[in-house]
Amino acid sequence: MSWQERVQEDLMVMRRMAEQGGRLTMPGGHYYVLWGILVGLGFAGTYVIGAGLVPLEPWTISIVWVAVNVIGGLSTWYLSTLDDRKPDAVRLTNRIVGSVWLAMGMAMGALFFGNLAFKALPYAAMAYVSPFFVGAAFMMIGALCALPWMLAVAAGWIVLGVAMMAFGLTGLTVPIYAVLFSALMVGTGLKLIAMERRLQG
Amino acid sequence: MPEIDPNTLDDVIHGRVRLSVMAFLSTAGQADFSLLKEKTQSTDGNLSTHLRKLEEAGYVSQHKRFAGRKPQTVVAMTEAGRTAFLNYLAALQALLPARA
Repeated sequence: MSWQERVQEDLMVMRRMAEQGGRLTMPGGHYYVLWGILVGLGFAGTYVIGAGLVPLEPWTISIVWVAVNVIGGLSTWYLSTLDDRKPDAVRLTNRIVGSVWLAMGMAMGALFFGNLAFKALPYAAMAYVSPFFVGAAFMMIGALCALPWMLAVAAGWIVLGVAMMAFGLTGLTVPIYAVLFSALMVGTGLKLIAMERRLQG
Repeated sequence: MPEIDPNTLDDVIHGRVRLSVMAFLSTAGQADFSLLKEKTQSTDGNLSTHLRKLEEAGYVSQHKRFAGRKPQTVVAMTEAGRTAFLNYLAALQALLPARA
């Protein structure tokens, strides 16, 4: 083998390895599906209670959202302990994505429980700000993982947040938000799961 | 035809397994030992020997962690390793005939 052939072969090996190293093989689509379903159910519960379709006081809507956060938090923790055992868990990109969601969850949790304790903001404020938090997380992950379509979804979150502020949380807007929120979250999750399967396949 | 000058290539990196490890870590940042073993198609002993050489040169660092109850060795590329890898690529590029 001539040295040129050897160099060409080395370059091919390096290219293949660098490509494999850069692949995002654990994008965590299942987390998006989980939260999409839970938040969708939270909005549905808000509508059912708020519209008086069940004999519950309006303050019980807070219980629904506490349940959403507690179930979501515990499920996320459990799923992350399973993911942590995978070899790809140590990959920097995966750790950064995890950190983005952890930071977003902590900020939203602090706002939610802080508001629950001090009642500083109107109850609906959490619903209004949440799409902006989620949109910011999508924007960061899209940029970090070089997934341009996630930036488009982030724009969708911002539009949803603006629409919620413009039209308020009344009547039939609530189930519409439930569907949109779940569609953005579950849709992203399913796309990431498909991407993960394709990369591993 | 120009002869290859072995002095221009970093001996620590210039080996198929070590080259593969460095290329993989250049984009992954860090990786689990078992993943590197799979990607480089090496045995435990072979990969350990190569990683020790890279570690002695300061190009990678290794640390242990627990994934659940299972111990895991995590290999990460250092700044010195990244610089050495880029220098290696530049040296390799210099060896190839320039394109018009």
